Amino acid sequence: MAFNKKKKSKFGDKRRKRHCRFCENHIDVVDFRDDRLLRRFVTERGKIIPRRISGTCARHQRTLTTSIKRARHLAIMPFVAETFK
Amino acid sequence: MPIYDTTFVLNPQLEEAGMESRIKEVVDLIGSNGGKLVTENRIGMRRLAYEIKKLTQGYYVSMVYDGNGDLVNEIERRFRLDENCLRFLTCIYQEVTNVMEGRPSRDEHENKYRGRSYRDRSDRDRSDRDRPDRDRPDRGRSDRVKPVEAKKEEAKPAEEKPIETKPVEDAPAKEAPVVDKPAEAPKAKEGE
Repeated sequence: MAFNKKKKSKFGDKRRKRHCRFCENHIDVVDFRDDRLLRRFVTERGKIIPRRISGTCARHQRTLTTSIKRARHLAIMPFVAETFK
Repeated sequence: MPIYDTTFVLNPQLEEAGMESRIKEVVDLIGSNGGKLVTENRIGMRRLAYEIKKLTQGYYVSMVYDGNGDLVNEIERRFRLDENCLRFLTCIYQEVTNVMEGRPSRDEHENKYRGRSYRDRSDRDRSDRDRPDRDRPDRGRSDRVKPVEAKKEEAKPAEEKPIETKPVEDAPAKEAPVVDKPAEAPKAKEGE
């Protein structure tokens, strides 16, 4: 009881357990040409979403980051996006 | 020898022959330098995320080949000399085994809805629809509520009725303004 009370007061009810989407779908390689996938892990401005928010695990966040950076070089992903759908 | 994956972007303003010759040049280079082409994937025209040399589209090609570092250097040297090669990237090939489904990209979405209203969803997937109560042909008044599947067949007989009634309703509505206009015009002249 005491533990639950403390947890609730600190984070509220909004705290949800995060899941790594890549682990769940058993994806080992993140293809840098797949912009449909990469765009989910980027903000509207084109910034890479940190893993503390997206829930991606450390290993996959590393591969994802390199993929996004490769995609940026090939103009598949934007470096900076003014408007981004 | 490691397997490399080279992706490059060509200027879309090139003629087809120009693109073909450049792609063939790379293939020949791989062959002549002791390499072995595994796959040649022409991804095709794609919108660029940002402008390169004032261009908004690019022709993407990716090649997977077996070769040594000298071959990669030679291929990249050629790309650097070629003005019509907008971008290139070589990395160690990693096989993509599983693909996670994403939302359709902006290009795909635009192509799908090109030339028609956004609200027109006539091509939507109805395979998961499970509403026998709604699709039942005898539901409601048969002349007003038509079953979705039988729409095409019933379209012809159903059209006859509205055609009969419409001209009657439309005719006075159209005539009215025609009659009014000449009537108003002389009045305005009188006022002057």
